Amino acid sequence: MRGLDLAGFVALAAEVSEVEPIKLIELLDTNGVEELLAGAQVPLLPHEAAATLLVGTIALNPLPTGSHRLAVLAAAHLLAVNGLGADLDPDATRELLAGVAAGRVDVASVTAWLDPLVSALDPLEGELRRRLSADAWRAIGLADLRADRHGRREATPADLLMGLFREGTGPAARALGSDGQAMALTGHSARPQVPQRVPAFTGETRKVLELAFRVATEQGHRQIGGGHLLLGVLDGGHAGVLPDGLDAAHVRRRALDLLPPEDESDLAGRLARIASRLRTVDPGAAAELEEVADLQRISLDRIVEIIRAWRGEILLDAVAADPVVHRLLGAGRLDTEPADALQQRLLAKYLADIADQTQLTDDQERELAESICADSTSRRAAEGRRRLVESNLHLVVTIARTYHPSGVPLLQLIQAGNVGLMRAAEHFDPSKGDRFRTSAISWIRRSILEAVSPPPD
Amino acid sequence: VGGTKNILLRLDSELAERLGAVAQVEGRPVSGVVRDAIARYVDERRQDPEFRRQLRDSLSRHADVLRLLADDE
Repeated sequence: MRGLDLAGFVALAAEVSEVEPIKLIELLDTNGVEELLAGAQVPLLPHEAAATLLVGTIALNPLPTGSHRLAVLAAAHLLAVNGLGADLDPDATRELLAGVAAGRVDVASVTAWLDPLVSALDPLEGELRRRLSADAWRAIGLADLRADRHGRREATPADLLMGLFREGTGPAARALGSDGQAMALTGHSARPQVPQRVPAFTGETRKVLELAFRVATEQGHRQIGGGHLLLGVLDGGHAGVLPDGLDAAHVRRRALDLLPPEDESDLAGRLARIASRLRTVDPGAAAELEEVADLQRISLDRIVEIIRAWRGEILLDAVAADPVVHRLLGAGRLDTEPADALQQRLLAKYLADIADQTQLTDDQERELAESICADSTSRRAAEGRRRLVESNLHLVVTIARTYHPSGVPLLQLIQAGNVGLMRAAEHFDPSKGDRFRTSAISWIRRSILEAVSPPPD
Repeated sequence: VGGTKNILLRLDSELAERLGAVAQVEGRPVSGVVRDAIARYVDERRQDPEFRRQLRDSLSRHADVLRLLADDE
């Protein structure tokens, strides 16, 4: 999906306000606009990005007059650069925008409102035309041919499905079991290329194309192939047009399996986008997810651990709804071990809180040890002990995990371990020459063992 | 809305040096040169045929709602 950039936004603002760009740049809250435009990008789906832009522009209210028109134009333009358009009813749109301005209507509601109204532009053009793969174009050519043969001016979803079925070479044909039965494209180029004549589609077929666009965006695919089109047909509620004997659920699974592998390079970016999508629904959850997204250095296992802690909550649903993130994090790993939600949430919060605490280097530890030795009752010594504790919080988590099979909740073990860690810091005597970590391990273990052991009768 | 906004701009040192040099030669503040550059960039976009076509299409597609909203202002 293509987003809108600052130059495009200012150009639209100039169109609405008839103010020269140079004046507009002084007038606009450029940082606010940049932030808004950054929030309306992949992996949001085009209609979600358009809704984000619409609501965000009204909230920003960047023009003395015309912000509502700018909001509509910006959303429409974002859709248009992606080869999509929306059928907006003027009165309903005005009412909706008034609701947004009054704070009664949020991004999620606007997204739901826009969802059924967005479809591919007709004729196919721009971004969509560029992104369709050769097998998709072959199928479209065959659909056009079939419509023509049946005396229809516009191709229906059934025409498109038959085009995919008869195309015979792409993933859609494989999912439909018709591979190896490629039909000649009479009247079209023999090679699978963009047809000379741009085919016309019914409104339903244009919706199917837009749904195919969504599948590709969700999967992180640049190209829209026959497999995406097939999923668009099925998601558009046209499973009834499948040839006899083909089960829609089975075809859908096969089509999904045959899609190319997703782009794994931008997990942090995708998490950040999910967070931006969540911001209006649950700011707390969004902030936590943003923190996770920032922690690019942490392992997938760690991310899974943190996200799993939000089980049953809106955040887990939002993360699982992004197929790329869900697959990267491992659906199975997210779906195991039901646990007490509050405990898990607190644990995740704790792990996120300590994520920035790093182990001290040998030199730093020596420096702290010297400050403690100099005067063990001084404020500097107290500060040194505090830093020793903070820099070893991860050590406690590691040790506590080894006692987790005991059945005692991990957070409780960590709390006990932290008490041991503090005791270790109080008793730490650098003059003996031991490293802090060495003596701390036995203090932490002892304290955790006390928590694990049943109380004496 | 309105007033002057401060923008924090992160530039690599080479670009910042070039920007400083342009401003010095032209005898203008750096901020003015930056504003001009952005405005020129926006003007370029406004003249881009694809942008114009998409804008024209959006304006005609949503003419009714845009008129209605203009009446409200």
